[in-house]
Amino acid sequence: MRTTVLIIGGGVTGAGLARDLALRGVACVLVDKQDVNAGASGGNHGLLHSGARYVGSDPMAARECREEGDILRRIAPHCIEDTGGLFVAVCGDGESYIADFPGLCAKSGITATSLDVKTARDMEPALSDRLIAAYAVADASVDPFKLSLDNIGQATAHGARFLPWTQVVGFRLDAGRIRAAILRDAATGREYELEVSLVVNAAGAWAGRVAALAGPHVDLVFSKGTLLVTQSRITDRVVNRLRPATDADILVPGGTVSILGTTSVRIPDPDDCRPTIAEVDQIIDEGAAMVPELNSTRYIRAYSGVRPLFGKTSAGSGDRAVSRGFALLDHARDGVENFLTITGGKLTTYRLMAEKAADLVCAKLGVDAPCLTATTVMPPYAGGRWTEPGLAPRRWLKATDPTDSILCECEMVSKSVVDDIVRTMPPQSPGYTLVSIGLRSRIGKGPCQGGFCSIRVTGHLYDTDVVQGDQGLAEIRRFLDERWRGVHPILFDFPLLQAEFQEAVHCGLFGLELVLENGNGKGGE
Amino acid sequence: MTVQSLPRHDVDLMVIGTGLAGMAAAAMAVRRGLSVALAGTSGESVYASGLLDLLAVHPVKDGRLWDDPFAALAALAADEPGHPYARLDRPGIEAAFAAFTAFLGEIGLDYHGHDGKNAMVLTPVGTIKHTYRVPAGMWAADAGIRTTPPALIVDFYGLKGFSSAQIAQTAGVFWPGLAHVRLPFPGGRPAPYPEPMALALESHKTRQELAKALSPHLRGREMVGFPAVLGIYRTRETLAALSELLGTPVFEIPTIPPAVTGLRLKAAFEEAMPERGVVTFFQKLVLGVRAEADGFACDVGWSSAEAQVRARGVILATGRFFGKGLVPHRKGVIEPLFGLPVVQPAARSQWHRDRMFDPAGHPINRAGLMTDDRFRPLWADGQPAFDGLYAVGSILAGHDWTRQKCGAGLALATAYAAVEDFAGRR
Amino acid sequence: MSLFAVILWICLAVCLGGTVWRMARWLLPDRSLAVPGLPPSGALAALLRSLSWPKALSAAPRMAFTFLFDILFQGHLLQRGSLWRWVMHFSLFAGFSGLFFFHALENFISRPFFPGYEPTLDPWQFLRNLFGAMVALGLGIALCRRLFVRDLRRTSRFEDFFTLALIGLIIASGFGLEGAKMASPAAFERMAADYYPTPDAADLTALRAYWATEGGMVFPVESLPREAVTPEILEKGREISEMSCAPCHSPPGSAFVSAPLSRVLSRVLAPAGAGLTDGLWWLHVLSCLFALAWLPFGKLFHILSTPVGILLRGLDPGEAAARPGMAAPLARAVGLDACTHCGICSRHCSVLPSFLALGTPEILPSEKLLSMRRLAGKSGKLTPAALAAFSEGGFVCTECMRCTVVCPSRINLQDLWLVSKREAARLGHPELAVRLRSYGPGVWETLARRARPVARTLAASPSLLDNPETFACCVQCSVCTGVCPIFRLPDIPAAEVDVSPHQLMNLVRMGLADHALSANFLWNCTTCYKCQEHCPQGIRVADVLYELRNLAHSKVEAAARAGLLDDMAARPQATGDAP
Repeated sequence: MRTTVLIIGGGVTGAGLARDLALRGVACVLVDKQDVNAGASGGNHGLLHSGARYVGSDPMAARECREEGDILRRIAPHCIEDTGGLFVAVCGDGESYIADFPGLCAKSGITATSLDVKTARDMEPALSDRLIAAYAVADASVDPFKLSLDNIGQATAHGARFLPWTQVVGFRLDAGRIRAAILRDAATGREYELEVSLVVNAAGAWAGRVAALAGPHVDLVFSKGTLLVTQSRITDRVVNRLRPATDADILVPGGTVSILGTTSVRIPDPDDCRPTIAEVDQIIDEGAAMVPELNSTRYIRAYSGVRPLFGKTSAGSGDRAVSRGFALLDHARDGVENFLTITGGKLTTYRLMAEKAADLVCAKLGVDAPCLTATTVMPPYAGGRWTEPGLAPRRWLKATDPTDSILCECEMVSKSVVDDIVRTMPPQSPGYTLVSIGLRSRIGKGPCQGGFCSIRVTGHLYDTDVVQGDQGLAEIRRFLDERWRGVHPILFDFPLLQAEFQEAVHCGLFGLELVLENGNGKGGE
Repeated sequence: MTVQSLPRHDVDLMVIGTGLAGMAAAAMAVRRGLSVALAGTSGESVYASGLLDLLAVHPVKDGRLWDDPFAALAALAADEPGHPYARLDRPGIEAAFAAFTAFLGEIGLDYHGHDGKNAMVLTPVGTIKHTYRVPAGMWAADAGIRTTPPALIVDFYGLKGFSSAQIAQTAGVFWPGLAHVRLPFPGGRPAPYPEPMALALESHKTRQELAKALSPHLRGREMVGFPAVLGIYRTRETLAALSELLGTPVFEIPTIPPAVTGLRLKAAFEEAMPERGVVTFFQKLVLGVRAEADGFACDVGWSSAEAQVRARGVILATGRFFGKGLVPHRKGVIEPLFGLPVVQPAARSQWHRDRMFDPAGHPINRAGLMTDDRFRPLWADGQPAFDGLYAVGSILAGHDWTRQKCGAGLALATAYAAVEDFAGRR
Repeated sequence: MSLFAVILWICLAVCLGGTVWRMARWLLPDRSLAVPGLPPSGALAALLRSLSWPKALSAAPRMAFTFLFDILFQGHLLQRGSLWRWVMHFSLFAGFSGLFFFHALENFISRPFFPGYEPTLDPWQFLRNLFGAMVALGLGIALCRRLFVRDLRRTSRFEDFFTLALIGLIIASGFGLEGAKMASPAAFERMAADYYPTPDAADLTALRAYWATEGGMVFPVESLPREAVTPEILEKGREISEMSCAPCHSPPGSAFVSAPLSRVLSRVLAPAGAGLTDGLWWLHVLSCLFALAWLPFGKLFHILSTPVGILLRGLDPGEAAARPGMAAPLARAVGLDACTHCGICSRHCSVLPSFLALGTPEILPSEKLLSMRRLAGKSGKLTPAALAAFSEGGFVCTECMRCTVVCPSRINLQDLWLVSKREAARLGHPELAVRLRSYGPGVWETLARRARPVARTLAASPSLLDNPETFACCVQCSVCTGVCPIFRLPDIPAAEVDVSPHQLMNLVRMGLADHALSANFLWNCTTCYKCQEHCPQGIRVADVLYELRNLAHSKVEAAARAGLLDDMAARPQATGDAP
């Protein structure tokens, strides 16, 4: 196998780069050791920044956010819910920042409309009655999964290839150039070579490890951010705390839920990225100061993303002060001629990062083609549309087909949607089907967190011959284990009841915890 | 409305909770000639699979399965002295099972099992469930798993969460002769949920239509498995009639709870309890209990008290988190009715392990009430909370019923022990 | 021909013509009252055909009893109304009948059949006053009830008061006329000139003195000097009076209303003299004639229609509302006309609380009947708003039959309501539930797009739909669906159980309440509350379903007001029970 450019990392940067190169006519293959948005691209608020958040710390980033936000609204309106946003301060928040804020916004060209407290609370009744200041800004929420899937969708439509569950385990170098990458299929373990002209390392927090496979050293620090998903949508607009950026100060509505976060915790290893109970408690306590309802609402899950921060910093908790801009490294200076690393950055400015990287790729390849990503509309990719909350039930209600029964009751995803996803997603290795379907839909994202739908969807996959033998047991186990990561830190009150019920079914009745240890759970004789 | 004007009942024993433990306690107390009141919401009996586990796994972290539950019990008692089973002996446990299955037989729910040996049934994901006493409808599966004759698994179009293909293929690993077929439900009429299907199959005409539709698929099949929809109120008749129509043994595979299997128990209990003279408050909660000189005064109602029950003794069978016997707040677990101390991990970070299917199980599942050997809950200082208060079933500390497969046995045996102790003191 | 005669003939003609027209509508009822599949015009023939001789003979005693007890004695009012109502209406009925037959028709009844009849002789003079007083009493009670009984005030309309006022005018002008005549010296002088033509002024003065003392007349001083009244003169006057006046004039004392009235009048209005008498005569006559002409067009028509209705129902006394026969259109048409708008039905209506909450008058039977009368009169020319209100009334009605049981006019209201629902449906306004469920997902989606996003917090709205806490504790166990009796029906079509209770809960939780409204099941829910009672988490499932229905209602109402529904091709789906 061969291709021109290998992009490592199926996050939004890699996906955006694949689209950029494909639109310029450069052949490329995108690989990820897991699936789309497995790293920071999937572990964030899904917030399309107006830029107002950075007016104090990074005016340049603020301006970029504003410009890129406008571009995304043009090229991918279907990924964006233009909610608008508020910046609010409550009693005790620093007066000087509140006073400086409008001036700083104006300086970066960002519109921030002052609201009186009563108007703000009329707009968002969930806001605390201890509000002292409020500004309206042009924040929006964006579906990061849809965004990446749509990027990949347009890229593949222009000849790129996407290989999920494919890990780069090594490179074959010759005379300071990478000749081929050695790829491993995560499920089967099969390894094979892909000959390449150039490699872009967009592996995010794992960029250091990937770079090391070819030799160069990339110095990253890892900052974990944890977020909580509520069962219902608490506010209609994005709500930001009007103070210098700190923990748990943004509440982003996304479809039918709200997302509260985030923390910033230095971790030694990006694989060590799990939300902890201490973080959850801290997020709830902080968020409730802004929106008191957050104290009593039901949470669905927690998740973490790991931000790769480039460049050494002094020790301590000052990670927010480290540039959240991106780094584009040409490893020619490290002695590898055809190897680039791009890491860091923000979801909002992913397209700009991809453009800069693609410019460099084209320069190195000697390709003379302009970037088209800012002007080419990105059509909704069929395989990506089902991540939109509420779309599946709306379609289902409209179709009134009594044979199309609902498999995921919480988010009301029916058989036909699962069939559609199976039809459009790349071939999956055995044991990863259910997880991949979950990634491309709302399945498992409701209150049951997979307890019921894992069984129903697996049954349907057997019925449609997508899953065979006793593969279903591994599918359910992997899916529930993956869900557990997010449920585990919020297991109190109702989620704990739900988890207990789930354990009664999956362990008490099915004995799934015994499956690996005792073959099919027969044993005992 | 003043308290004085509420209807008042005076009984020997108030049973709080209508899950398996509560129902068993009430049934056993009536058998001992006690006057009984029983209160609880639809309770966990709707969520029951109908299977009566005793003990199948020990130690949990090794996932070791036991064929002989009593041998497992001996090992468990030695390894885990804090387990409620460690306070019980084999004759008591056997008597509890005998008394309860006899009671179930009286109310139309037949149970089978091996002497001193666990039985096996199929689950809807195609695994084997090891259990002690099996409802008649699922009993043939035990022989099927042991002898693996050519068999047919049947399911119906529209019935969610139950795939005969999945069961046949997954169980095919150890039962190679499994075929599967999906049929339109006979008549194609009821809504595609287990309960309406089960009701429809209580009609002989529906069964005949089903048998007719199945006949082309039966050649060479020595056994037929169905989702657990063979009747709710007349399971005995439904099962026998269908088996006769098909000419083969028939077995049920439980569906995802809450399911028909639980509904059968609930329906039978709710009919049997009042018939046996139990003062029942179904769909009602015990809102508050006051200890009095020679017993307890319980306020029973939904949002406000609707009746008062005075009882010499109280059996607390309110279950764990799902049953609301224990309430897991962010800062800790409490027992809401009496405010009894709950044995629990020191911090929430220790409640659960990082993986759902961690072989060792989650520590929070072993939280619960500490009792003395007579199953009277204790205050923190180790003294019994009240003389006539007992705690039975899953609310007890020290067990992991989902992993150990001991939920029903725990409920029955502790209920039996508590009732015997209370009755013996009279 | 005198002016009076011209007016009389015109009024008679109008009355007769109107009556014929109204009665013709009984025989040729509007097709909205027809029994499906049968021509409405054959109703009378069918009725007559159904009356075989043996049947008629067996019905005769019952009919006679009905006529005597219910119609003449008005016993139905005692049975189904109250004592006050009976006193009120029997006074009106008996008093007015007496006045009509013996006073208004004196030339046709009193004079030919009672020799020696003179209106000014007792007992006639006394009776006339008695009848008049009875009517006045009835009017007084009626007015007080309409004004001071809350339930009646609610359903009283202009026509009710107008009718009372008209009768009151007739009675008042009658008494006034009689009183004015008694007090009028001009009338005295005319009578004296006709019946006591004496040139003796002293005798005339004696007669004057006697009438002034005994009859309360007031004479001008020049014709009856004050000093002329002495016992001797009075005695003389009495003799003359007994000789010349008494044969035709009973003592005025028996006119127990008019006589006292005359004294008042004579003091107050003496100067008006003969002009007053003439004026009152015209007022009395014109108000009577107006009432005559108006009779077929207003609620006074019940004088004819109610007895006919009662007799018709007497033929088939069972409460056989559900089995309308061939003759039903006739009974329905008569029933519509027989309503006196007395308001009893509305006082007893089971869904009175719904009216108090919603305020649509057509929820009350007495008001719905008025709408239906208009509908049957104009064949569906009601405005869309009126039709919608009419349909809403039909929807809220529980068909409990209370109104039919209490109706003093014995109208088979239950049958009329069933017809009204059918008719509203035919005109595109079926029962609310049927109408709402006929809107497909497309309509609701369009309406949802127009909706402002709701503020999903408890603080903003007390509704369960908007409150995220409503479903916070749902564990997705679907017990609510498992216990639903609708889902347990053995042969329910799949389309009727398209979205289950727990699915509706999930749609609401996801903020798709607007979209959930297209579920057929929403309208099949019996609100038995089993789901809510069995929910292990205490979620108010049935209450949420109620809120969804109310949401559907309010959305459609709002859209209809804004004229939006017409644009949307809201094609009714096949629902089975929609006509």
